Amino acid sequence: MKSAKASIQIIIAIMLLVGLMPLGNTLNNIKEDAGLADRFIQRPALGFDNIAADILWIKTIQYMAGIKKADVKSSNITYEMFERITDLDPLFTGAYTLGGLAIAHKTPAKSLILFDKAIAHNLNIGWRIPMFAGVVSMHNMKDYDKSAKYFALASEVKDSPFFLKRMQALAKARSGDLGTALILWERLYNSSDSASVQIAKRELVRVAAEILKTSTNNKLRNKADRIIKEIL
Amino acid sequence: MLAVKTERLTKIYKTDGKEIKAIQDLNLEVTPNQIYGFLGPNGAGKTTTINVLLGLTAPTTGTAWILEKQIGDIEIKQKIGFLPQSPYFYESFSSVELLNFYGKIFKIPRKERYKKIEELLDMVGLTDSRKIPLRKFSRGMLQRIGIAQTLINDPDLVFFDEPIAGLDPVGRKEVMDTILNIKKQGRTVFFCSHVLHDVEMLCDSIGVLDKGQLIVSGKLKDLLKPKESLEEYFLKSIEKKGGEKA
Amino acid sequence: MNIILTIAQGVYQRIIKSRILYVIVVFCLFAIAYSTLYSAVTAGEETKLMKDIGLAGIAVAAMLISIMVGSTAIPAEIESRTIQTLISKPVKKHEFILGQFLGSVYVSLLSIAIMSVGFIIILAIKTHALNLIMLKPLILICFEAIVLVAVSVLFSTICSSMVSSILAIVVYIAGHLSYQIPFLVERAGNVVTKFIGLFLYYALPNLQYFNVKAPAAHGICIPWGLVFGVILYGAIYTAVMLLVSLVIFKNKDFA
Repeated sequence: MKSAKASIQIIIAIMLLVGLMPLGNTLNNIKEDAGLADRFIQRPALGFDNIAADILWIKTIQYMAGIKKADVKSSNITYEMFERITDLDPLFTGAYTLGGLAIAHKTPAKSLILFDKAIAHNLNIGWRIPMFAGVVSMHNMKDYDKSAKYFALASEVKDSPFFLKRMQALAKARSGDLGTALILWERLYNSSDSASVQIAKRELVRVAAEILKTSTNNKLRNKADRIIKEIL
Repeated sequence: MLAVKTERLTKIYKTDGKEIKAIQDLNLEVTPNQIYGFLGPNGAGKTTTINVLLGLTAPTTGTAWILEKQIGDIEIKQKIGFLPQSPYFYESFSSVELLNFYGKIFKIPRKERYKKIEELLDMVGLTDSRKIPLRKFSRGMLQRIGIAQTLINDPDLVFFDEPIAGLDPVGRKEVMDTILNIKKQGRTVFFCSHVLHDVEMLCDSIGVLDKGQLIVSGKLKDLLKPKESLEEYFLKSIEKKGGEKA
Repeated sequence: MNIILTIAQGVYQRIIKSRILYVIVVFCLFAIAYSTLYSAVTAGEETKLMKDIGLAGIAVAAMLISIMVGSTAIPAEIESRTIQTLISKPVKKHEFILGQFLGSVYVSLLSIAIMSVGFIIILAIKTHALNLIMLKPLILICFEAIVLVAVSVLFSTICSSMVSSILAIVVYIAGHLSYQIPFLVERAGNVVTKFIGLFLYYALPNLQYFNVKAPAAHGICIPWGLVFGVILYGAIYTAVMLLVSLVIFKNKDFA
């Protein structure tokens, strides 16, 4: 009698434990959807990952304050430190921003790694980090294609400023993709943003002139020609 | 009606592969409204018997009845009280808190409970130290609050395991008076001890346990010859038993 | 129910008089207050830092208190033999266990509540805003504490308080790492290793579910679905622990 009762209790316990399996999966899915998946935490610290990140953050700030002359070596060290901080706390956007900007001058490729990590691990990253990534790839890397992609990403964020679209068009033009640049500038020319319209007018003329000078694509040349005539 | 009855009660402990027979085929009958002294040398199995009777440990074989109910029946516990050997209570509690705690376990209504607590504190003479935490109590005081605790539910039967051991003469006197008082209230007292002098003064009947077996049982006045002390009788019976075995 | 609550109340009355509890709570509040002084070295992230320190401090204190209280309640009764007196009264063993559990939970939650109120107040003074977003991680810290009490109670039905608190701390650590087991199992070639890995994954509580401190400190919205799901998870796991404790305790002698 007593042992029968005990076995029933054990069976119920096991069933409940089995019932936790699907619940666990559901919870994992909810976390994944909310961008809070645990797998992002690369250096687990028993749930105190963010405190560990904070301590490292303070240390990094102190290290950076002590750098006398910025060079590739110090830049690499700084990168490593921010890499660790963001391993511990993948949602720490402040760390991605400061880290990425601090090392952009000496090691721009690593700066982009940090920005990419920020974008990958945060659902609502905002427009600033993609913009910084765009600026770094444009000025420090001279990779205009990549830069245009970052600006495009930044400009898609809700309530992002209008100039990001201009930056995207500018990057496209510099990358040599004049066709796309023309389309982007034309869109801005037809937009409601007065500042953009003015700039777009100037840039449209410039890009169209460039096309007429260099391009052999007849369709594109015709389009450029039409636009110049329209504007002037 | 019997207050306590056991039938071939046996408890075997297994330690390190060895079997230790703490009690063996114990047949005990205790009639109500008396003080029953349960005697025996240290390690005879007195405490084990009480533990089995109270359901703190299960018997290996045999069974027992308390107040006509088989052990294991939770209803028995409504009608009994128990003072363990060298009792220890929650030491941060005061006497009132402790009695109140146990009173609530018995679901005694609040008003009645506090009335009862006052009565009991008065009975064991602890009214003045009601607010003092138990860790500051002397052994005698602890024993007295322990006795008060056994009576919170107006039990028909109370078990005392070595209630007088380790007390100074004044403490012994107080505890013994209290036990006599409990009997006067019409309760049965099941009293475990190896201090024979006290048993002789208090008990109506006795049972002597040795090596887990009951060797003597009966009314004290029938067992003792005139002018024979219980101590003499006790030693005699244990020696006799030893001689039989040899 | 009445008896369970009485026993729980007894547990509370006993523990609340112990000094170590106050030391932990006061120390935690002090650490939170102290974190406000850090702003000079945090490069504009002082609010995040304060939230991190506050939540982590409360989580550590909650872990320490719940394990300490949960793993001492029953052994204290057994070692001091007060359990004999209690069991000789009309107390069933499940009432005893549940009473000890509820009392320990009550003490843990009470201390978490005190620390949380202190934290929210300090944070409000610093940020001039009532950071109610902090409630979600704090609620989940409470439920993690409940799970830890249940785990400690289970261990304490088998071992001494010292051993069970050590085991409970091991479960705490493993519970916060167990989310990594599936990734390790994927890589394991051996079938036995895989089996052991999966067994541990499902037998250990995944305490990482209860950890939403980081997103809350970053002001990221934590869905209520997650909060309620985790509460359900905690409740089921606690029930399992208590059931097993009951089975073990039923066959125990107190002589």
